[in-house]
Amino acid sequence: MFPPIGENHNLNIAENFMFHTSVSKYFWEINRYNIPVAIAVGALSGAIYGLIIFCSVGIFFGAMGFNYFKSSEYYMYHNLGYTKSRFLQKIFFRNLFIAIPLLIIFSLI
Amino acid sequence: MEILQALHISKSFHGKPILEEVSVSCRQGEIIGIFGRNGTGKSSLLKILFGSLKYDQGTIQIGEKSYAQSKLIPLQKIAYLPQESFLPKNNKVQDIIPLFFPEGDRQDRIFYSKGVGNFAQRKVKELSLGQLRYLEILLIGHLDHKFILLDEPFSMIEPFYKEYIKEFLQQLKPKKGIILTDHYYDDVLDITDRNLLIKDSQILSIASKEDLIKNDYLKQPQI
Repeated sequence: MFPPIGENHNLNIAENFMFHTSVSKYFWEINRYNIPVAIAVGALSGAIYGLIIFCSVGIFFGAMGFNYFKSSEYYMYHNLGYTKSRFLQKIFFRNLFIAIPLLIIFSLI
Repeated sequence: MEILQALHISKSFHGKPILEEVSVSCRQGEIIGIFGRNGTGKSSLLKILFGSLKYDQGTIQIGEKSYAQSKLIPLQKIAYLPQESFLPKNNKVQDIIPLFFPEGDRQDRIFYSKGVGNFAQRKVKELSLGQLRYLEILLIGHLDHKFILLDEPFSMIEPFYKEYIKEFLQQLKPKKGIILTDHYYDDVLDITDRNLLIKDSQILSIASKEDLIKNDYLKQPQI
């Protein structure tokens, strides 16, 4: 016999954990492609431009890379209730959160 | 008990109609099989129901309420097993289970499911096709979603895991509505309550294997 299937085990804490775990995984997946692009731009044009790329078009390069190499994995996230646009929004704000302090530091140097 | 309904769904690709005014319904507590030759729109229909492929026209209802397709995924009422594996290949099985189920007791249900202990330490890319398909079905089957759509759950699977999958789907049946499509018709007919065939962009009811022969899905056996 298989262990019983639960009726409803929705817990806010658990859902939050699941969401953050999924976002974190997706965050690294997207930035795996985004960071090299941002570093290349940063090396050629300066750190500030690299950081701007990191929290703007670099995310779309990341999404394109993920789409190209791992598009079927989107179904895992979809099954958990997360759409691509919701994830990209989250990644944008996370990257912005990382980039703003660095932008301030670099502009002060 | 809720009913999932796709009403008057039409879909075409590059001007070629694949589905024309097709309607399907599935209630919790039943398993429905959908047959059809390659390219007839079986997978497209499942993707439309899941919300990952836009229809040209139609309506999707769960219970009495109609939903825009963009709302279906966040709604978390329909789970979907695509033809291709959706699990990250470089992760270990034991690391993927918590992505789906943060709660320990629910993780245990997967870990203690038949046969999972044999491959829980392995990476996804090291699993056999049967193990992988079985794991994916276990993961989506244990979600709270009321409906499950399975695209080719039996294809290329070793008999051992086919039996596990069938047994698990039967266990899910009282609480969920299940729609599956596969060319392994004997396996499908083994577990379904009713069956449909997509032919010429239309959907037909199928009562037996003979109906599949009559409708040119299967060849007449040679004597």
